[in-house]
Amino acid sequence: MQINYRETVLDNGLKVLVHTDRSTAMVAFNLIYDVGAKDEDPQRTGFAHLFEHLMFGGSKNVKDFDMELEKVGASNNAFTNNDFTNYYITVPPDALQVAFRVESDRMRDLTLTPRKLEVQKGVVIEEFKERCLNQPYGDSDLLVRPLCYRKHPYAWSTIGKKIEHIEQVTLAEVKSFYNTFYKPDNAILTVAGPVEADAVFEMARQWFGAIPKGNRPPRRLPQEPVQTKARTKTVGRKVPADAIYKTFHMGPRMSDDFYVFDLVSDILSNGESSRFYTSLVKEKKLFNSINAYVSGDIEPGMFLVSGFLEEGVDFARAEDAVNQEIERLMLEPVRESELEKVKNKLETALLFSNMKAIDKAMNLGYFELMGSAAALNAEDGRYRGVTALQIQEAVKRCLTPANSSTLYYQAKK
Amino acid sequence: MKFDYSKLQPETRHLTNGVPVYGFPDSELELVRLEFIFEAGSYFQQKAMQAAACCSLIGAGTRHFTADALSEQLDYYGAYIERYPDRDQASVVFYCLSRYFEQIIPFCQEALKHSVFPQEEIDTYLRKNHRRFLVNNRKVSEVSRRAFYSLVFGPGHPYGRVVEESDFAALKREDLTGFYKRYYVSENCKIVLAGGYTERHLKLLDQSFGGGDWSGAAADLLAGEGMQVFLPAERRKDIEMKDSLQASVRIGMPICSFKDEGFADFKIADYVLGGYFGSRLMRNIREEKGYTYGISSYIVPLRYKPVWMISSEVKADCVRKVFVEIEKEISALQKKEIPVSELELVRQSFMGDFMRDLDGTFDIAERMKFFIQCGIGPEFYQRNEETLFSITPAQIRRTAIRWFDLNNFCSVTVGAGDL
Repeated sequence: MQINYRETVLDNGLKVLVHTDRSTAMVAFNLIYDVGAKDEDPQRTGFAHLFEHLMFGGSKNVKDFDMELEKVGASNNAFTNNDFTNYYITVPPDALQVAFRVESDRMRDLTLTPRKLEVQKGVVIEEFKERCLNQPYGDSDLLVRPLCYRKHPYAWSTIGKKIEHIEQVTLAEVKSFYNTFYKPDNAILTVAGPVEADAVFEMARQWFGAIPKGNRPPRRLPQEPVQTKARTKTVGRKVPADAIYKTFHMGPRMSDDFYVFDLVSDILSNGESSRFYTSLVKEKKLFNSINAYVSGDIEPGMFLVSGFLEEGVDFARAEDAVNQEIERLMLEPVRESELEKVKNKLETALLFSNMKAIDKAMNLGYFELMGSAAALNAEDGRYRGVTALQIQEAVKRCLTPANSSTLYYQAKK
Repeated sequence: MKFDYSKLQPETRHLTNGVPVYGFPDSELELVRLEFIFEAGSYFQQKAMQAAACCSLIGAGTRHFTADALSEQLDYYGAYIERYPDRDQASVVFYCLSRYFEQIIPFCQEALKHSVFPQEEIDTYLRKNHRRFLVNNRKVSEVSRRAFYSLVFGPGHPYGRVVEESDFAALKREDLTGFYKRYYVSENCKIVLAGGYTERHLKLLDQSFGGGDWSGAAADLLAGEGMQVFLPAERRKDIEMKDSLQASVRIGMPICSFKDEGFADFKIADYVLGGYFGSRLMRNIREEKGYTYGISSYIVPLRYKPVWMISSEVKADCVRKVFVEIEKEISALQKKEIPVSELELVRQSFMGDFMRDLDGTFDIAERMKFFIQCGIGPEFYQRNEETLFSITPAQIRRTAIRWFDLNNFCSVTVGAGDL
């Protein structure tokens, strides 16, 4: 897999990347702002995401953002995570200028009113309920994060710690956030599709070139102290069955840790031949389902295990079985064929996640945010390079009881 | 914006035994998507869950391999198997790296032709699905989805029969082996092949699936045509879930077939009302009032009787208000022609959505299943486009009057608050 691109930086600091792909009928236009939930005031969690909603309320010369795009057959959306905020548009090639026009207008002069803020608070609170509070097990992320992180802002979910934080947001705070973070030198624009790089660079200069630079203060996030003791927490909820959530601290997205633990998570739980599935679900019948995964955060992240217990199995027995699988990874090196299997699976997954112009635009922007878009093309190689020895070393270092936090999510009948 | 409809036209071939293979080659892709579509949906089952369990256990234990051994092989080559049981059809899809196509074909063959449904695998399946059933029972959207189908079609209709707690104990191994033997046969199968495949791969496909060794009879597709749907006298169901923070609202009814002359008109009226982000329902109920995170209307493509519905999860104390606003929006469409500017917006937005949905070889290949199910082809989309650009505001108004008949709607609410 090789995704070629060209790159330039405007005088105001906006980075622009272009990937030419003639196999698609639509152009993908992706704008990342380097601000996420980790940049929030701990008393205003959920702010970055609420702000993302306000970006659709219109700007000085674009009264109705969505409609301007829909009028030319374009579609758009956005998402926020702990690390960044991503806005994306797919647009027919002949209407690409429209994407530039509306996106640059809301970077320059967003309309923020008390009424828009009130409505979007309501929408976001309903989203909070729909995703987290009104779903069985939906609040697990809200509970797991503060258990795992004591200092670092990954301690809260993107949606926020609680509804009250969203309710308390003021218009003055919203304006100040906008003026601080929504600036060209805090953003990365990627365009992918049937386009010429030089023409896109020109459009970028035309529409974004005159927007003044910002002055965001350097990011100084509190660092998470090394965990030295196992942590646990128990909660009771009205759900059909007990669940267990375990997290372990691991390295950042671009470190070797990420590739190692992504493979480890696949060894444990990707597919019907994975260790957790064959041993804990099918053979021992301790779990109804169980998964391992990496959070994939830019800063030091989490390795997670979440398992839903079988009826009549107690936490101790279930947890013991999980620990045994982890110990097995420490004691025996993973067989070559098993390692090859998960690497092949990841190759397929990588091809899938870079199939469309929009996927490629997002991924290029994301890797640029982490340092260099070129690193995207090294992904398969980095997975391929992981050795059984490395896996053993990393598991011994990170998947230890002292580095673990465990949430017992108890079913209340 | 111009869509090239020829892209939807497959390269059709037939295996030696007559099984059609619809090909969508794309040499740029290093992946292959191989889909086997069977007329084996829950529509054909005698017992609840029979069709879904059968499809979901394809390959989970075969004549020559245990479930674990077979998945170990597929996994080793980075391949994925996905099973999609649905109401009309069931399909089994394999995704693999092009360079390993030859290696995985024998395992595809094992899975499709020689599944044996070991009791242990059935038990695992039932365990997992029973749990999912219990979890879903605590989700307002799922409870309302089940109640809605049951209300619209009645429990006697195959589309209206929903899974119940007691069904889990009743499903037996013979139910699956019998259903498999009857429906997973070459006469009842169609293949869709897409991505980076070669002539050699096609030949291999014929060697593996072109024989008479999995022959049987095609499913009787005509049986359902005459099946009547009786709209119930009681068209409203409210289910209370006490501690819920939201309520699920579903409103809808069965509509005309995809082949019906008026279908394209209906589809456009539906799009105006709730089919896109800037729709009337979204603008009013989310963007103006903030009662919900999202509200939309859409058509569920069932072969014999498609269903149209509006669905949303709303603030617990706003159910009545949401009903009032939905009725207001419907009645506005019936009373007043939509402005030309809105129609122009709808035209562009509709085409944009359509082209985005079909941007990519795998997306296009996936659409074959829908064509086969509804007995239509690319001309269906061409007609939609023609209608989209020729329809007048007056026609949309007439369509809204004809179809959005509040007296015909079935409504379900689930949750807490003012149901």
